[in-house]
Amino acid sequence: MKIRDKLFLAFGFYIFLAVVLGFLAYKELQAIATRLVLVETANDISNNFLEVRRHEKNFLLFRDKDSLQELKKNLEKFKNNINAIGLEIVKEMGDDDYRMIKEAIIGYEYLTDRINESGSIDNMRSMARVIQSFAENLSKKEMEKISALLTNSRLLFLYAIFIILIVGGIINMKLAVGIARPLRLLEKRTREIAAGSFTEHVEVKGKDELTSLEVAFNEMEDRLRDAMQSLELAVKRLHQKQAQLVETEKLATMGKFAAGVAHEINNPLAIINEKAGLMKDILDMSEDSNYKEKFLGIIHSMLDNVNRCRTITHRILGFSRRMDITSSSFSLNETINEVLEFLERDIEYKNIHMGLQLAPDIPEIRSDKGQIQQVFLNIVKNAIDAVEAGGAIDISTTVKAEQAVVVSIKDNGPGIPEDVIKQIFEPFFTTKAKGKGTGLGLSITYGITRNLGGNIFVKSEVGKGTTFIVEMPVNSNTLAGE
Amino acid sequence: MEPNDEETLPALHLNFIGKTLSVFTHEVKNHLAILRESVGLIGDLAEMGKLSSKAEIADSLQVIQAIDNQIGKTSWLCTQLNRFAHRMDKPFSTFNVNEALEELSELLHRLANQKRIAFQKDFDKDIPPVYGSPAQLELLVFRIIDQHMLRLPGGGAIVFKTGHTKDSIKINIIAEGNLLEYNEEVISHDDICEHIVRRLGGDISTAAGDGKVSITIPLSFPESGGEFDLKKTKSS
Amino acid sequence: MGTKVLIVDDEVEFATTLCERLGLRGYETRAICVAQDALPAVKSDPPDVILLDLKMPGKNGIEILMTVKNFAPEIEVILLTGHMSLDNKLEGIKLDAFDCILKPVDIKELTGKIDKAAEKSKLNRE
Repeated sequence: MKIRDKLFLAFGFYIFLAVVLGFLAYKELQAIATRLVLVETANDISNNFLEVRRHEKNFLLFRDKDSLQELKKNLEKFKNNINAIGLEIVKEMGDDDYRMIKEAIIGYEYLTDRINESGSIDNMRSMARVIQSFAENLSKKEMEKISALLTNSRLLFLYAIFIILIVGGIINMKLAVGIARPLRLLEKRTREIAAGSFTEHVEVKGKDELTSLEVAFNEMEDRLRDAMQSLELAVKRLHQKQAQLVETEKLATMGKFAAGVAHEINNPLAIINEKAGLMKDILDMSEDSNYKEKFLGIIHSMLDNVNRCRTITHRILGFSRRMDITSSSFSLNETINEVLEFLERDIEYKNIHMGLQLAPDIPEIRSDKGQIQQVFLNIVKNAIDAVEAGGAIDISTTVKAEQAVVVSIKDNGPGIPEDVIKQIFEPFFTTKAKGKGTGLGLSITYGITRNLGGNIFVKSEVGKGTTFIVEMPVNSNTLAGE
Repeated sequence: MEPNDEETLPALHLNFIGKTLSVFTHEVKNHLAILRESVGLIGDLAEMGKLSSKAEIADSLQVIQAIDNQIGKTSWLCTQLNRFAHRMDKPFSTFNVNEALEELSELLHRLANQKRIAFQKDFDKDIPPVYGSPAQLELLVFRIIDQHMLRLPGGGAIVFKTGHTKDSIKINIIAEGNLLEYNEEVISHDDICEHIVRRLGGDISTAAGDGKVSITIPLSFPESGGEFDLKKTKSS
Repeated sequence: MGTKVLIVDDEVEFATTLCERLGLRGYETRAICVAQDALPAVKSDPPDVILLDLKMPGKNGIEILMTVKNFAPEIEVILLTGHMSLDNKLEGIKLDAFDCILKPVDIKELTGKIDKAAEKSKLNRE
């Protein structure tokens, strides 16, 4: 049933109740009014007869005509009143009593007509007493009656109020449950969806306005959920396409590199070839047999070019080793400890104070263990070189947003000036004296880290020290969205 | 979470290239070493004045010829590497399967030699060009070669045989010799291989018992092949 | 035969040694190892055949070829290349080169091509 109808019904019911109660009240009041009239009449009756008796007494005392007339008048009034509420009397006092009083009245009347005859007065008196007691009874009874009625009415009203409260309460509750609760539920679900969690649909029952609202809501939720899933899927696809693109580029770069290598080796080979050819030509064609010097020159050149080739092959060997990434799962804490073990003697020799804050709960990363060792070996070695005897190096490991492990290596060495920091990862850049250090260490470190999908930063202040920060992704594909 | 095939593919590919470069480098170094010796020898001969008589000249010519040969070999290797390298210029291109297999076997034969396994070529001379990803194909073949070599601990041969039908290319990679039985560690081809073949729009199968792995690649590139397909990869 | 050959290649040792070898075989050969000097050399003493290395730094090779073919189309050009590929061949044909040869060169093959190119060059002039 529609809520509108329910509301109509509820209000209708209230109105109906009000009308009914009003009607009942009206009836009660009417009853009371009626009763009141009777009470009045009963009182009048009582008073009337008191008057009669007064006049009776007066007459007996003064034997005057006025008193008698008054008596008769009041008696008449009395009679009329009795007649007027004859039915009531019968109801209240009973048939017998009514007949009795009527007879008594008749008797009294008769006696009043013969009031001057002897013996009437005494009879009159006894008659009067009967009538009086009757009248008093009647009055009393009417008073009782009205009292009872009033009590009844009060009780009725109490009941009515009680019923109204109960019924009203029930109706209110039903309305609340029927309307407010579903609405609250919808509100709750709306909040949940806003927070991103989608719920199972509750089966929709009923056929009122809220039902259609719920159905519409369910539909909306479904659409939203689908939209979000599509979006997530699209984003995932995009990331994967991006990763693919990055990988394609990496491959293309590798290809170019390899092609470059092939070319560079080929050039010296071509030279050697010519030189050899020349030697052959000389041996074949030359008349002059004194070609020792010439040959030595040629051979020297050939050897130079052979060396050229070897240098190139050395380079690619190093590079290809880096390409050869072997993957395993391990903890960076382990790596740090291994590196420190390896450098134990240098640390001791310089009396360096190592501060370690390796968070025990960092996740394992999946990467090339050997190359990562290389990275940290380089950085820690640099730190050892940078500090003075008795200096301090602090190494810490933490987790960043559950996606990466961050390693920080801080030394209290002299620090690096700003203009140098900018070039620190460049190949062949070195601040060491000529002959000491190739300037390749940090550039290789940088290259390895980036190649494995990580990041490396340096912070430094002259006089305060230097901090190297290495971030490695937990899943080796996530940070590599360079 | 275990990475799926699609995610590990690039790493494996780079790995493969690295390995190939490594093998190439070692081979070239060997050639260069020999070259150096030959050159050194001529130098010694010249130094010692042993280049006057006809006999001596004849000898030195032989040495020079040896130098020539070495140069030829090294240069040939560079050509193969160059061809191999250029496969990665574009993700897809038209290529000749025979050439792709040739450069692969040339670049890696040293690897096989160390295990006393010979690479043999049995190429279809009239093989038509195919459009696809030669680099991926080479990676695939490499993985199969790897497995075959595990099955030939006592040496033997791996034969690259190509053929074609009206609308596809067939590549058979056959291990010959005393073959180890297939077990958990030694398989004919793995999920990655399947994945790559699917990407190329083709098929891979192993004849039970003998060491023959057959790859079929359609001549015309299928519409969905090669495209990253989420449905296909989310098989886990 | 007296054929005038100009070698344009930035590898000095290669160019000079080849020069010497071709000289031993009777070719009048010069070697230019700086790209900028090539065109002036061609203008001052036009050769019959040019041996041109395309892969010189700065993509000068193609420019030189195009310029030569522009103002002295009778000169035939043989391209020296590190690797032979379809693209290279096509480019050569497009640019109107006579032929191409792989480095390291086989001297016999080279002289064969030079002779053929020289013949064509002679025909061009007639």
